[in-house]
Amino acid sequence: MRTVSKKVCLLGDFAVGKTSLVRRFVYDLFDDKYISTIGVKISRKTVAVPGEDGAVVELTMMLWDLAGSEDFSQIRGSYMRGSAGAILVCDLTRPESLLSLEGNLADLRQIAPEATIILVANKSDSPQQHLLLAQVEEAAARLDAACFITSARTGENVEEMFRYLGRMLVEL
Amino acid sequence: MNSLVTQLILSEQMIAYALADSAGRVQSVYGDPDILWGCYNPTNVIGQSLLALLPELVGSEEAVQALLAGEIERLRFESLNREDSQGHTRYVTLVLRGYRDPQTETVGLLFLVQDVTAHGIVQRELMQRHNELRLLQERLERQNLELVASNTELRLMNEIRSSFISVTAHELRTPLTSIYGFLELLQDTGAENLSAEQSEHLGWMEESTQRLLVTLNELLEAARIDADRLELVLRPTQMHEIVDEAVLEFESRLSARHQQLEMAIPAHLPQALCDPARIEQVLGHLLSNASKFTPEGGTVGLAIHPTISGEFLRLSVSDQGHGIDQDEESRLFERFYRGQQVRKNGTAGAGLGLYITRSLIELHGGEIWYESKPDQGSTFYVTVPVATPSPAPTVSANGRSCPTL
Repeated sequence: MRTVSKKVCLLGDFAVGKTSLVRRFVYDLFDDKYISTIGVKISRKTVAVPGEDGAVVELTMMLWDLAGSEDFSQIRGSYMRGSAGAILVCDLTRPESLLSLEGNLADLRQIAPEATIILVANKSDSPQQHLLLAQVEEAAARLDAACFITSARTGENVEEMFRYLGRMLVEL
Repeated sequence: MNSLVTQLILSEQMIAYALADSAGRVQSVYGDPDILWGCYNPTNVIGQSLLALLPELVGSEEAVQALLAGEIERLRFESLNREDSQGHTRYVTLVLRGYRDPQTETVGLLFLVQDVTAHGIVQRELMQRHNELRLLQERLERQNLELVASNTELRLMNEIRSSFISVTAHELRTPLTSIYGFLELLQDTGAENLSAEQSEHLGWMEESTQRLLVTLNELLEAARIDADRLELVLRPTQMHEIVDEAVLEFESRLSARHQQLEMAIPAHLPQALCDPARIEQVLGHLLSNASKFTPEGGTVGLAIHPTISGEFLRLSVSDQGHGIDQDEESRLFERFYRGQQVRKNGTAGAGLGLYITRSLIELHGGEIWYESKPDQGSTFYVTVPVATPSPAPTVSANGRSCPTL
């Protein structure tokens, strides 16, 4: 079986759920308590995904969970170097978090222009959603990215989202 | 000695490093391996590829080649979160740079890690507070917008409702006024041709029509108040003039119920700054209520005194009724609220009188309140400002001054 390692960055505003998405995917855990990430947290998970020729590929995803706060914008560039893929995360309960993704993408394209991107709208379990599905889909179309609606709390669509990206990474 | 000093400095600064050759294979390591490798904790590292030993370097293959080729100076990752061998989170700064050994001119890689956990913890705490405040601020801004939107919607609904009431009341009042007029004419001109029973029926019709007209007028008045379209024409006024007019109107009701009016009004009172017609309306309403709730043969009280501050005149109207229940206190001045006693007695009224009275008094800058004891009656108090020497302004229902017409 072919083995591949790929670097994937998670980008987005603070408190959108980047760390929670990684924890859900890697450890199948969720914690309600919000703890700010500083710098970058690196996790890894190995998954089996179908390759281009249909054969199964063992993909190790190195997940770089970047701090979303503006204070780290200067050093974020070094973190994004060598990224094969990027997950742009916004929060369905905070419309402003969708707007900031265009800036994140612009930074990424300067450093890793070929990175595969997907757009994720998180916190689909929350009753207080202020972003419409249509808005998220429209943003995804504008960014030319696939779009997933997820909940790190319930796990909805999290595995599917990472596996979809994984398949995209091994097919390239 | 130098080597010992170097080791001490590295230990003090919590730095560990490894040297790798031009192929990226580890040649030597110095310092705490826990700092250098973290939870990856490889064994027998000498001869192994740095890229293979550190998953953190996945994706950095091109950067490493660029380092070795001298195309870039360094690769630096600050505030990298790592778990140490005990599972605790540590913060490290990781640097990769090319180096040349001046004696052998070997090109290789320096891989340097500094533990900055103490700084990282402080930074994280600060960031946590900052982010929590920002989240709170965002939530407050959002709630504010929602409140503004709700407010706008409520105001619109209020305007629509006021318009509806106003238009409906106008449309009903016009034909009713005609009906009342013709009934009065019939009473005055055709009474001698009617039987006693017919006269009585005519009297009931007149009374019912009058009640309807009063209710419609109150509805229109309330609609004007709600739409901020009520205007007062303020002028210095002798309260005795207002009292005389109000009592004149009230006399027929008093005599119909065999009641007395007891007045306590000093001969000399400062002038009030008010709209006389409106204060007469207020007084008329309070007297009417007092008479309604005082038993036949009872006494209604009316008193006027300056307040201690001298800035207001206080009017009081008292009855000898059953008193007002304490649980009605918060609702008595609400629109369309009819008290328990009123409902029990089946007394007519739309429940707008006290609402209009309070609105008129508050528009004057005064206050209204009451005192009541069970089975000992109630006293209603209103205050009206005393006139000052300055010219009388006109005040609209929204409190803005405008020229008197």
